Amino acid sequence: MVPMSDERRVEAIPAVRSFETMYRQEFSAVLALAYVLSGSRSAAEELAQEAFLAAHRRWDAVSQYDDPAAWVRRVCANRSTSLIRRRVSEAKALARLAGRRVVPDELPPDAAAFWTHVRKLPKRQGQVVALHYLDDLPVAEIAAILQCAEGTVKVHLHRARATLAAELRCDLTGGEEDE
Amino acid sequence: MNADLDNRARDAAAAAKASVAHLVHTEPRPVSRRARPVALLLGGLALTIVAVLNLQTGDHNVTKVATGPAQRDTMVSPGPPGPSSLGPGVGPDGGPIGIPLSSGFAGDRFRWALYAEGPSRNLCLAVQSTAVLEPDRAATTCSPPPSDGSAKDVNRPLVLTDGRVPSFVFGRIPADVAELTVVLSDGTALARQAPVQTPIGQFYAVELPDRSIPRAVIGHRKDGTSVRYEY
Repeated sequence: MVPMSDERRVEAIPAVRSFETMYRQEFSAVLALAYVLSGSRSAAEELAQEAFLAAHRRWDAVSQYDDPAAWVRRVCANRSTSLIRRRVSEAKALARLAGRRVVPDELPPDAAAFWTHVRKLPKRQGQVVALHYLDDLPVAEIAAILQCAEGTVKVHLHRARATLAAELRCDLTGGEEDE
Repeated sequence: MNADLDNRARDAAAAAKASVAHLVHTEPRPVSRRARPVALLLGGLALTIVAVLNLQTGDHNVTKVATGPAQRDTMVSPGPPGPSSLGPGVGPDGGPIGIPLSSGFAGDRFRWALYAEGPSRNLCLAVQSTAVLEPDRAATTCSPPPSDGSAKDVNRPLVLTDGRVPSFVFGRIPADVAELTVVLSDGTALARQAPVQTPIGQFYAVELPDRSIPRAVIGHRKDGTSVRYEY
């Protein structure tokens, strides 16, 4: 094995990521999380950007966390619920205004139906499902993001999958082994 | 419907990611909080110069600013991409795109600009976020060009509504109006305010409260009479 130079050794040490680096690496995933939890791309943009803005404002503290991206995901997931409520009222109001900007839903019908059912789940169950399937995260990481016990995540995931399987009439065979 | 739940979930996840992929900005655009007021000040100074130069050419005609109910479906159009293209009266290349009429701030992170655009001097309102990481949170609404040459709807209120920015009602108001009030659909009236006086007429741009719908704008004349413009 070739001895590692001092320079390469320094590079190999995990450094605290800059905000820009985290943004570049994580924005896409957080945006997708916001999208499936809110059901609206414009709302998703708002949610994701608010979450990153929150991180940016507190970057001195957030950057010291073990996983700043997990903090951003948590902020995004937690804010999605209130935003959904706000957006429902907003949509009703805006629908009455001529000339409103319509953003078509481009999700295929199956995918749209799946996430619609996910959004009907209890809040925590929906968040767990979104994190589990979107980012393929293990239970431990989901628990860290949502700041709850791994057992709680397992219960949420189990119940959510059972509900979704019933709603979507899907086969549950071989589902939870990656926990 | 016979697909395994996990397969279906992962397909749905992939579809969701693909659906928002085009919204991903690869570069954040952090802006120095200290630099922002300076930039806005300089921008305002530049706009004033542009306005003066435009007005000195005499190339303006207020009678061409018009709208009508039949055309309102086409009123809202997404603004051109990028923050520079939405500058009040300034195009992507930094050149003037119209006559700046007024500008201001909405809340703590949005700025707006009212301007007359194009050869027909359509009235436009642009709203844009000044927040870090929100370069695309912007929207512009312009009055449609007059269809029949009639100026009867020249004072009809226009509305900018876009989920990305605060909603506004804006428009032109006759020169004899001293103050105006926006009436909402629930009957409440917003606080009176003076219109913005410009060399080409009086205008207004009023931010609407969340989830509110404008019904009318009432112009209050100095002699105590009023005029009402329905949305």
